[in-house]
Amino acid sequence: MQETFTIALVGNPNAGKTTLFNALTGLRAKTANFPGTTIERKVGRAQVGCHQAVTILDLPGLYSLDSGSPEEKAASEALRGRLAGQDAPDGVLIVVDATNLERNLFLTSQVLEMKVPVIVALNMMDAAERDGLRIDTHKLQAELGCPVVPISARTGMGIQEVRREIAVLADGAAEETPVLEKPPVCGGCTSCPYQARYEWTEAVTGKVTDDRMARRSQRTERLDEILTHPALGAAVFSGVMLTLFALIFWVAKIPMNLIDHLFATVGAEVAAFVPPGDLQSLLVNGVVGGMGGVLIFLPQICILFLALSLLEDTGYLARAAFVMDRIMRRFGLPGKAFVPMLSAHACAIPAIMAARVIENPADRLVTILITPLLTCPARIPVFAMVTALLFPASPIKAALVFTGAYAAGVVFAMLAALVFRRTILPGGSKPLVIELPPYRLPSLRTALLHTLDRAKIFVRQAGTIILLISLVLWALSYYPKSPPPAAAVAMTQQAAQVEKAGEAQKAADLRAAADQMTQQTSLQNSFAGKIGHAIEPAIKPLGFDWQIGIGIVSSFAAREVIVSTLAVVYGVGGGEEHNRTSLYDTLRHAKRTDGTPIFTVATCASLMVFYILAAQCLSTTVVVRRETNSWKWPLFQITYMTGLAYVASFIVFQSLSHLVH
Amino acid sequence: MVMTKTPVFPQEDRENRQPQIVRLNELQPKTCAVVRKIESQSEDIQRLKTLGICVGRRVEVVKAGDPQIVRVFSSRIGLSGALASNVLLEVCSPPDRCALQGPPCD
Repeated sequence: MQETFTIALVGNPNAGKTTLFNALTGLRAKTANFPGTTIERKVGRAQVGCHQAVTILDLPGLYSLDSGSPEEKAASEALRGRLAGQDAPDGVLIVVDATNLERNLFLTSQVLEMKVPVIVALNMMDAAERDGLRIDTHKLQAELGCPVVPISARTGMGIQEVRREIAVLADGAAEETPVLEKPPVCGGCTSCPYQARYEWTEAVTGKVTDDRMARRSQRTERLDEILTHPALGAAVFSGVMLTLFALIFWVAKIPMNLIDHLFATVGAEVAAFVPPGDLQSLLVNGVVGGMGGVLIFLPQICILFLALSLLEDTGYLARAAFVMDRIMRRFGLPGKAFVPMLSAHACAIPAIMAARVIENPADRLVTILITPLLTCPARIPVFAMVTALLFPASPIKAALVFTGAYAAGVVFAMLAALVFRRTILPGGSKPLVIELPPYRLPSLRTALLHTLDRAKIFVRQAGTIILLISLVLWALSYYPKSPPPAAAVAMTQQAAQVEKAGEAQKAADLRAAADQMTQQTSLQNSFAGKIGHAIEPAIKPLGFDWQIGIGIVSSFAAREVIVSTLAVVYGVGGGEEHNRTSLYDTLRHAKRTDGTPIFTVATCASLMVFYILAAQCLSTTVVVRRETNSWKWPLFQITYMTGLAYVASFIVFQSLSHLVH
Repeated sequence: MVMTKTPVFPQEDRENRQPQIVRLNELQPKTCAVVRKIESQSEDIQRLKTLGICVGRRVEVVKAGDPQIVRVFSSRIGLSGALASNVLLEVCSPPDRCALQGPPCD
């Protein structure tokens, strides 16, 4: 372990702990899980003296050290030095909300009893002054027996004094911490330890606060009249959520397209430098394509977390949870699950990461498990293909099918939540207990730092595995290599002759046709092709043949890949827009070996149902692993979703193929 | 309700008035009351206590309903009715005479 002086940062949620941490450490912070848990802690280094740096350990926000939540357990273990690989901190910096001393001193008194050196940062002094509260910090210092520094983390007031106090503590120059004169807990005199402690905090608050000039801020109350109103509150909620959705669904498209173009350009550049062959394919399709496939998620992740952080900071997110709680509870989900479930319609990955706003582990797990059932845009090309095959001339029927698909996603997600609540994660959602903090102007700096933090975690901890998986998928579709078919070789030779005769256009057409044929053959003979053949007996009852099987295998990179894969398998060539119609035509006329058409109504409907329900996005699986800190849950998720998809597709195909003829 | 007839904490009121005991989910908005007893020891109840809704504290319902909003100290807490029904309070009546100034319980 490092020998630097370590100070733990603790405080109530909404007391401004994160703002103070950011003010002290800036960009030099790392986020990691507590060993063996999914609870995060941040570690940063702060310069406190001219040549002195200390380590600051940011613990989760907590109200007390002894209640049952996993965050509070982890934090109190960390403070006591009982966590593996982590010594007890050398000191504790407590952030106390000056506008709510009675409540905040509860945790303070518990920390003081641990007999570690303590510094109290009395935050939100500007807000207290605005409310007409006068707090005598010297008196409070005497009552608590530890240094008390009045600060405003948001404006930066008092941060230098906090640094100075930490430096004094690190130097060992601090005076001996006097023992509390009146320990708040007197065992035996009352049955309720909370009562005794709160009586102490009220007494201390009364002694140090002059509230004769206090004027209760009406702003929060007036805003809450509107924002928690059954009708008005729901209207505002819908507006906020629609805006959030528009941001991650449409606005995020702009940077996503840019990333797409950038990586396509880089791929083309690489292809121009590296001669065709294994290395070129590895670099262009494996490495560059895989990196693009990771970074493409960043715009949605960043926008969602920026918006969520701002919403949380203003205090609105707590109200949103409050408003939605009654409806979500019917499905065994907490009110806070709404935001991840809405976001999942843009992409499951940021949605699963956003499930972090749900404190209770079981509630959070149920939300994570059902999130990928909601329809994300990667399924749209599949729906478009199926509706084009089924109803080429009826946009209304196609639109109805789309609507039905989205509704099916929601219905199955809610049903799955209900089933999990009755089986593997029994019990309803935790009854709502949520602090509704005063409305405040959000801090853009805090939000940006938080966003950067989430983006870094995604790229480092999920991105690397996603890249690795895309390399494996590339190899599956590229190896073993097969020689170009004789017909393609003949075409290429013919092209050379035609070119000599001056017919450049004809030559190019011939080469393109030869390329398509070569691609088709090599994919059919690759491992992916072999897997497609191998799973054919299993997917035959769903109405799929081995060619669709290859499409399903390739979908593990991303669902929409099935369209371009089918194009290659059926020899139509790349997935470009002008090829779509020819692909649909080809699919419509595709025949089984016995001469019957493959894409019948039953097969199309079955394929659609399969793509609504099946777990096919390995990037999602990787993110679920990171967020649940185990492979157990992502594997369970793949199993239940694919099992559900299999059964549903089976029923749809079997009943339709008997009914429709 | 049985509660009003047999107070949870039998005590002689100075003006011979029976203390009015209600459950938190039934407390009228803008009425101040003091927590006298909390039934149940569940983990969720512990969370309530940590937030300050524990015996001896004064609370006020800011917004009725399920969930309701309760003020304790200077913080506001959103609370489901199922949990709130475990909290028994003595209503401060008349409103200017706070139950806290009455004889301490226990």
